[in-house]
Amino acid sequence: MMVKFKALSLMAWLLLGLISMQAVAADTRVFENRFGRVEVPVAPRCVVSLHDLSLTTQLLELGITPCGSTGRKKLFSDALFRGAQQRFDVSGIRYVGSHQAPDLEAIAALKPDLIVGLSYHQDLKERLSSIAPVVLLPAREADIKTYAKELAELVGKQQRYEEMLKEYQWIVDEFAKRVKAPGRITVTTLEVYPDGFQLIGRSGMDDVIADFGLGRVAAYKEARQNVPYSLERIGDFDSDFIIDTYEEMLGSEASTEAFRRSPQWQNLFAVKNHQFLYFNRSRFADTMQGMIGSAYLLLSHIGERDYNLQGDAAR
Amino acid sequence: MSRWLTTPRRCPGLPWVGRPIDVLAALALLLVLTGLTLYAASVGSYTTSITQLWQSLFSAEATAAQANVLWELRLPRILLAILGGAAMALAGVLMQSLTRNPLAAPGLVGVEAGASVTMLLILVLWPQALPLSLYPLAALLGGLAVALFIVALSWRGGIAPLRLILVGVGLTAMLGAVADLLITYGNIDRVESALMWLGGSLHRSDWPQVQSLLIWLLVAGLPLLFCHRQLNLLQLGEGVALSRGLNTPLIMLLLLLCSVTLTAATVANIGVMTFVGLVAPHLARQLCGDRHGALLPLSALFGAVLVLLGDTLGRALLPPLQLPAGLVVAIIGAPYLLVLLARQRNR
Repeated sequence: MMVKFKALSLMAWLLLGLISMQAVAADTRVFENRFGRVEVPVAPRCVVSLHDLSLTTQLLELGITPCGSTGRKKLFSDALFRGAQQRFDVSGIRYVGSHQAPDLEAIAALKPDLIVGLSYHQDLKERLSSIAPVVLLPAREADIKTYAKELAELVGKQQRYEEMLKEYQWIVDEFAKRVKAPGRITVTTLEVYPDGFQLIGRSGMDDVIADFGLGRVAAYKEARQNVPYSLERIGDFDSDFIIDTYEEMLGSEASTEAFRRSPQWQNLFAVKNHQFLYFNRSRFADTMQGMIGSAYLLLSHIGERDYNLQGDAAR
Repeated sequence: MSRWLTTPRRCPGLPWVGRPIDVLAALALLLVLTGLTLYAASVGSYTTSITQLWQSLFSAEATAAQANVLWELRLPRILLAILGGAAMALAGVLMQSLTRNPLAAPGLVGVEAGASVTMLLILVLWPQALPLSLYPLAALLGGLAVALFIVALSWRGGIAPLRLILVGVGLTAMLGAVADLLITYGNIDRVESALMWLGGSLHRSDWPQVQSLLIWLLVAGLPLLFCHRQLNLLQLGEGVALSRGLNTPLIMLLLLLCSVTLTAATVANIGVMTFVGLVAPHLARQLCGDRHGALLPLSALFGAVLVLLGDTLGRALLPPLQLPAGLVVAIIGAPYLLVLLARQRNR
């Protein structure tokens, strides 16, 4: 009798243990990408983002408000979450330092259950992992659609991602309907500074240009990104359309005004034909909706207006 | 009373002869360092009370989160600051004594520039070339290689301080240009990461770095405490030191190697902190003059206090924004240097 009782008790405990393990296992799952495999919560309650312009803003667009985020801060002013500040209610997001030097204690104080970062946070990953699971996303290595899809999968917002992707695809299709041979139209994305320029496309503009099938001048195809070019070389990148961006926080419009009045700039084909586009650098973030915003801009500024092409002018 | 404090006397039960005032100064600095350590351990973005600090340190009652913050985030940073400050200060004393120039800094022989360029090359051009754990070793080897190159270029049967300074300044300027080139043409994210590192920041401190720097400090720093007589002799000039039986070329080379090793190890683990090596020896000289028996340990203590203070202020002033410790030390040290220069000019 006693033996039977002991056997039954043992089975009961084993069953209870299995049920508990099942319950714990159901709360987490394995997420895998090019940066490795991480066990993450199924429904994260408090997500900390280590980059405001891409990850934090993308989370907000997916409907997730991070509990903490890195941001931009001048010494004695309030922290700013670039790309998100003007579009979302960020009052509930705790500032945790700069994206290059996040304050690990501030992150630990939030008791997050998920931390998302970029590839250059690799050296912090081990220590951050003692606070919460850390997932690195390829926002620098892949296009916006790729990292946004991974982020949506991570936080369980695939449907919202699909909705944004559908809207973006619709814009691409609309552009294709209006512009029959987009490859003939050349576009250069750059940023002019007082002492040079770089070939940078913000807010997914380069992704949009590629998806729209727009062309690039030969010099652009051979050039390197993130390299400061002398202003003397700007003529090499003269295209049918030139897109530059200004940053209000830095007063970049005023600081480059003198160059834009110079004959070198005024003689560019795009400038002479009023096909120079000057957008706000932070209005649209490096996110799906940022890309959608850039796509709408190009649809209007190229697809829904008359324009001149260098190729036509040469004939 | 003042004669009692300044008269050298044998310490009871110990083989050393020392001045009570030096011992008192060292004890006072140790007390300051201990107090600052406890303050640094208790301050931060993760609020901890003294009770929780005590529990995390000595009992098992602390929560896992509290223990993690103290043992994995704060303590490595505090210890690395202390060890790095002590190492840079000792390196600074050696450079100033070997060159007999009070404005000599540890970076004079290109160690900082060499380590910086090595780290920039890795971080900006070949980030996948080495695993993260080998970065400090690479910086150390780079710094040592440049320093040895400078010593070799300036060697003429021995180390001549003026030649060493001139060659060091020239090569440091060249390496600075290389660093600027890498910063200008590198990927902006990698450059930002490198600049953060170069600014002298401890926010990425961990236990392997503490271990590494401790080993180098024991290997290259501890023996220095027993070389105070040789350093005192060298202050009298090479001719006098030679006449007293000192093998000056060998001793100077060994001491230079120790300085270079300490600087390279520190730069490899916490980045560039030039001012510590320049300022800490001068602070110590206010207490003990050029007596290296006291100057070496007091400089090390001042260096440790400076860097720990800089790091603690850097993370406590505007949390969670972290100001690099090197920047804060420079802000504190620069006015002192100006005062020193003014005094030198008035003499």
